[in-house]
Amino acid sequence: MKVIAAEGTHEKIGFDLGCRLAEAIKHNVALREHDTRERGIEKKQLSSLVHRYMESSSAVSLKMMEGLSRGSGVPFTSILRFNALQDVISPEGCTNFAAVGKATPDGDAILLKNRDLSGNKTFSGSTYYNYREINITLVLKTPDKNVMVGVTAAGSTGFMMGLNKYGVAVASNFGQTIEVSHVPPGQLYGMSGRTQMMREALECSSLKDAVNLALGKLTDSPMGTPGILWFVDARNIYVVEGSFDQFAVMHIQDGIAVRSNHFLLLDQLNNEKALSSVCRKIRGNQLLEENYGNINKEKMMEFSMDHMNGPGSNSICRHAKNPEESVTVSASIMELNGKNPEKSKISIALGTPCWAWRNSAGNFTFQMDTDIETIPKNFRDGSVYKDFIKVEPFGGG
Amino acid sequence: MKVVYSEGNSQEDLGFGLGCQLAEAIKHNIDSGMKDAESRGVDQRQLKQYADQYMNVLNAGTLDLMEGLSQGSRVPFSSILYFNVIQDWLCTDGCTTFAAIGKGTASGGALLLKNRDVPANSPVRGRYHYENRQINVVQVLKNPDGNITVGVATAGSTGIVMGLNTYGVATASNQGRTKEFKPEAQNGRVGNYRGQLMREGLEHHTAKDAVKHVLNRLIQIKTENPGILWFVDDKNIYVIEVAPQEFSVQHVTDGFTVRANHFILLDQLNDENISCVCRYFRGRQMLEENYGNIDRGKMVEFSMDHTNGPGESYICKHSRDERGSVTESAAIMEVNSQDPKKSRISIALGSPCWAWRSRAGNITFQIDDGMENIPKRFLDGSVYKEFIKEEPWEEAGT
Repeated sequence: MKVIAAEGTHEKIGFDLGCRLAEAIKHNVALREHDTRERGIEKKQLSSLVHRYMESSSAVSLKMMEGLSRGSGVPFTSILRFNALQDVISPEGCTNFAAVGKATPDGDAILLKNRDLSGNKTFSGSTYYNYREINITLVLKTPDKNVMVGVTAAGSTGFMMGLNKYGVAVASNFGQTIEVSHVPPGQLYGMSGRTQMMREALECSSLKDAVNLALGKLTDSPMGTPGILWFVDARNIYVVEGSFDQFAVMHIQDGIAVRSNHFLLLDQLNNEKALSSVCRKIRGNQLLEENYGNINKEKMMEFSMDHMNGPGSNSICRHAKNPEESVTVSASIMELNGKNPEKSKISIALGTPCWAWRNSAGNFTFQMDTDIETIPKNFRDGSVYKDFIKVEPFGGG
Repeated sequence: MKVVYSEGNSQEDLGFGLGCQLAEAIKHNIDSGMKDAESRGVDQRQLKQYADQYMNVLNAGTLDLMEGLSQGSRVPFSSILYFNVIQDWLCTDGCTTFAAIGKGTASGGALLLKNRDVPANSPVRGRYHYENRQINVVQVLKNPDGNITVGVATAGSTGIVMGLNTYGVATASNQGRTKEFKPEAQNGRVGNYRGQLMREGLEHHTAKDAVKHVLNRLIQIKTENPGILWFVDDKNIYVIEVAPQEFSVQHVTDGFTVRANHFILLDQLNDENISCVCRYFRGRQMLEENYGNIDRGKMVEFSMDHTNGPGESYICKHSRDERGSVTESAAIMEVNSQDPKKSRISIALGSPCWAWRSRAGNITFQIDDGMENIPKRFLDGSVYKEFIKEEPWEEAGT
């Protein structure tokens, strides 16, 4: 994973990214096409999905895709299809924690995401590592002077997690609900892609606008797969759980929230066979409760590296020998600043958290009003991820 | 309960029209509401504080409507405002609501039924204190944009308890019996804006737009009083469960759904309450048994149902306990998908088991009907008094 900055209109940003990431985009797009074929998704169904996705995409998302296409030389339809299938084909596992008010030392909110991703043995080539697609950390400056920092896959116009200049932080999880196991192969549902919603939310100047945007989209169409959305500013945490025909919202101004891939509000939808989700949720709650009032960046780093119930697929910092199993590939901690939102910070660990947080070479912190150039060069060329993605836990677990 | 009509070029005009027609009822309701608040130990300073908070979250149209009500009834604006605060604060309407759509109904269109349950848990508003009962009205409003809304409301309140508009959007609400719900005023919670949100929802052309509006409002305002909101049009049923820190949305395009006063999506918040459970299960049973054949006639049957009784576990609730909850009216809204203006609302005034069975006890409006077709008995409020009964119809030996 490398860090890339781009500035300008959405089309210019897309073009710039397309030029710099052409090879990565081609590989990711080819992989997605391969995966789609393997899943037996019918052409007609796919075409209908892509058409509906295009209709529901915002104008700026389409402009970014056009830019990506021109910059990378990948046809627009391929970029569009790649984005339409993002949440459906590559749903992210992940564990997210947030705390606000009396739960944190200064009252300001803090959000952690451990990003889990499964691999595929067919993923090979220079842009893949350990059978997983290579993702990038993006720093975007848009014409309205907003700055967004987040993690995404090359070719995607969305974000998996991120922070903006106004002190709005976002993240998402996949929802391991019982409905998922009932969905026939190739069956696709709603058009509200989590990653696109995350980026569109980061374009908002207030948390309420971001939440309202997401709820409006969910009212129009459910997510492609069940999932969880997080919207956080210095004073508020909103957690949105969404399934095919229902969604629920939790608002916290004082306290903690945890989600693995298990719903809490829509508990009746959970797949009880998803043991890892249950283990990570219970352990997450335990960690946050034990540290109530003292939850800060350092504590979140500890939680992110936690190997209780493992190390393995049931621990928060997930490890697996089988490349097709889900492992934690990166983590972000977003510290919101209530007095001055532009001073909000995002810390990103690239690779396995138990290794990357422990070594200053494995993580970096970016304050939203600082220059991209302050990020060390090795984060920008992708070498850090390769150094810190590990099969074995730090210290043998 | 009587029927009133108002039209105008602004919300203030509409309010003025209602205020003129309902001046006595508004004065009665305000007096009754204040007595009720006093009997429950509501502190005046607290009330003022809540009124300030309440005013800040109302939209401009609602404030204009209140202004009109004040001018038309010659009741001070502050009294109208306080009454609305008390109404939303102390009102603990129970209710059972059913909806069916698509393959669930005989026509493929949508139907919404609400049985309105009113507890008599106030020391001054018990069932034997008829003189203190609030006066409810069926109000037909022709809005400045031509949208006609038919809704049931308490005279003096700018909120509604159920209604239907020109575009075929129907709405209803239920109270939520969650663990945090406390009917007593001293433990009461402000922030029940359901009535106002339903009225605002009926300003929209589709159920989806109404839901988006309500969700936007729920992010902006603090709702501390748990409840359930319904928005239905010809293609969609949306059910919104609202608690102080959570809310959820269920979307049904084919099938049915039921709520008593328990949450279904946010199930973990529910208080243990036998009546809610009985009414919910009985509701589901009836809708399942009649799947594909649900029409107005079936909804009338469901509204009068006395299984799991006698008493407050009936869908048509009766109570001999002075402080018990009873069903005091019902409405069935039939959405016409071909021509939304031909959508209909049927309202039974009084106990449903009595009022639906007698032609004199219920009335059906088509949204574009003229007021001239409404029998005089519905305009003067005498129907309600005739059909509100302590005993179920079957037990009366009729």
